[in-house]
Amino acid sequence: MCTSPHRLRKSAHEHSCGFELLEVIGTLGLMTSPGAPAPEAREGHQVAEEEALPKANPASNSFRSWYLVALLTAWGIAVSVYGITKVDPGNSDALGLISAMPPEYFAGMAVLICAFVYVLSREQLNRAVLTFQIIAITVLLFGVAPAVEDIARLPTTWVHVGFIDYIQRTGDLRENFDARFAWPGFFTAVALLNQFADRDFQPIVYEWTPVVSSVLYLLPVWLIARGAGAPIRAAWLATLLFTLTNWVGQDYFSPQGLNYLFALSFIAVMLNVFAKKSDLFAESVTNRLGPRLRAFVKKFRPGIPTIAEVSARDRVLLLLMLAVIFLASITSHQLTPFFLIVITVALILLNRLSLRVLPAFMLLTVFMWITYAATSFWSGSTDSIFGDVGKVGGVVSENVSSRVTGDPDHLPVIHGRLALTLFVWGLAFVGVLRRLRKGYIDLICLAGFIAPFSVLGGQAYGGEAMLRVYLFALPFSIALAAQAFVADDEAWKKKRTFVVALVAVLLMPAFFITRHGNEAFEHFNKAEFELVNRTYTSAPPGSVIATLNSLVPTRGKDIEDYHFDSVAEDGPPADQVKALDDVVKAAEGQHVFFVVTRAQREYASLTHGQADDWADRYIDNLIASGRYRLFMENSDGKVLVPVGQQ
Amino acid sequence: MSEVVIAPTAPARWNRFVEGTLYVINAMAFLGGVAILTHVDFILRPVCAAMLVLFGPGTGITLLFRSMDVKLRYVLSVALSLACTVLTAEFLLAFDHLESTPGAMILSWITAFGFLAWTPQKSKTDEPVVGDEVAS
Repeated sequence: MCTSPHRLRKSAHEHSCGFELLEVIGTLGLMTSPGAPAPEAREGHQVAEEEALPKANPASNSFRSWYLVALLTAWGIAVSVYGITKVDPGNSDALGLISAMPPEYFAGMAVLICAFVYVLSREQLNRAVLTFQIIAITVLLFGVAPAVEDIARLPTTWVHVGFIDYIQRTGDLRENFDARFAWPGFFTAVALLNQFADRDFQPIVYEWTPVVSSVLYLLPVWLIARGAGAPIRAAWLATLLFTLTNWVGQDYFSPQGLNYLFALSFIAVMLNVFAKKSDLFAESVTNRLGPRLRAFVKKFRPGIPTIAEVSARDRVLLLLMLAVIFLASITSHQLTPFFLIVITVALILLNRLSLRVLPAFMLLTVFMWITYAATSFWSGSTDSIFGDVGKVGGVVSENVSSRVTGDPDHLPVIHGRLALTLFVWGLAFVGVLRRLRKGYIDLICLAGFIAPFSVLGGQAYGGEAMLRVYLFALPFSIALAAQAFVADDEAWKKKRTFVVALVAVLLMPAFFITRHGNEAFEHFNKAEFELVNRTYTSAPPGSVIATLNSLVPTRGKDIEDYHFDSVAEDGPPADQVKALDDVVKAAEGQHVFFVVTRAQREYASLTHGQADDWADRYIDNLIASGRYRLFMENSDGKVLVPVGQQ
Repeated sequence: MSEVVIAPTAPARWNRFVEGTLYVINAMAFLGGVAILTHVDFILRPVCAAMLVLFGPGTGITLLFRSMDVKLRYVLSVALSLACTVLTAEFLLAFDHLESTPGAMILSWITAFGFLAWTPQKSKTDEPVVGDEVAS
């Protein structure tokens, strides 16, 4: 079928709703269209970017067309929400939450994403509709887990809850207990918020933080894309791709989730206010080049940043605001300030930023915090901190290859994460090439994309450094990736809409496999939580709470009163009974409670490749040894204690 | 000279609406702070606390920047509010006073800066808004 939607519009003077549907289908690429002629790029003088967009076609902005967009958006939201109501996280298998998701959800989300891409393809953008749609997509993607799960997911969430509980009760930090107490900003802030609220609302906050964080990330990501020179449509597309490819999951109730917002906001303001308006290379540099090389270099321009015209007074005040945000980051997370420093330095080295004194201030303040407030963290453990310096190969191995293990049915999740990461980076590379063909070198994006990798030369960060590199490079890599589809503000070709919609829709299941692929052991249900709470009730202060591994919502309260240990964190112990005997021996007469719950069993099975009934047989062996007895149990867990312990 | 985009002119109504929401948010955050300070116990107290922490100090400061792009102001409102809360909490912890009254006092004072920026709006039809796009 080769009929242009534009021609159809003319012939069908009195539009019907059926025709409008045809128009949407046509725009999504199922029908071909010549598209509007591309305006010529203007050079050498300042232009308003939107002026370069084609003038709106009144027919294409018809009321009925927008009526249909509203209908599709509402339908997509309604069907997705209906799909969510049918999700039972207990049905998650080795592929995670996606195995528990009904097809209705994906159908609704596909329509919603297509509606977003369709609005993006319109000749004149409607930011109100795009804003509503991207927020709806984000909430529906990130809101599935909190909507269907009983309590906040991830054991680390509960560790953080325990820290906050301690600070709130004692008004102090616990020294030599956990490295995270050396960067307590997030925990103290939440403790203060809890006192403000004076009501038991925290569980909702723990559970829904990923949704709120992910929505708050959107505007800074849009501004970073614009500040880095991405065309307006590419910036909108970048926000969609950012949402769909943010699988790292650091937006949960954590210091890093808050600090990621700090980092994005810091970079967004820096780029939109302090980015340099100069050419790619200074005249002093190009004058030294030979005539051919100079002509070649002159052919390329930096991306077109949207620089804010700010008075000198406001620039100083804005710089102070950036300093406040950075100081808050220093006190609340150990890694984020270093990513900000390397990105800032890279931008300055490439002559894209005017704040030459900023890195000195950043380094000085980080150094002051580490040497003054974080002394308890680094004194006596310098080898673990600096031991990885220069060992890039070892760090990459610890972060990548050592993680590709476990149950064969679960391996697609790990492979999927690697594949999605490479896909985003590959798409970014295509974006760079497309921009080069248009005569642009996006140095800001390239600097922001590459600079985070330098952190790999310093620290393995417990095998998570590569995840953080992906996360901090993401706003820039995704801005480049979006430009693989929208390299400039020429008219949006209709065929492109189909490709963009297809890629975005296919990224949705990839999002669930990569982000929620571990859901079988990363979510907790009421029964598990209840068993842990009953254990707390029974355990006197000083007791040891032992577990198979850390996948259990313990440590959420009274952290100073209990000791925690695990017997099979890195795989099954050689001698199962002796492993727990050692814990009892180390307890030196204190009570010991061995808690085994569903999530721990799933973790042992999926990441260490143990048989499904391995944990049950372990418990049977302990009871058969005659040294342990069943203390209590419910549908999803058991608690054992040494024989003779009351 | 390379290309640099000068911001297009956004409709005055839209500007006023978006800026108006910042004022409303600022006022709500301030009222939240007052509710916490006066120890009013009611069901919406967590909402007041969240408003103060998420938007209070940030809107208080950024409303002073009348000429700045409103999107930057929104981003700064949230980031600055959270940063101020973190630093206030750290400050109070250092002096063994991590309590709601001094915390709410500090944050509400910063939030109140927003009122300094309040003046009856004149038409901003031709004022450029940086990084903005044409509203349909």
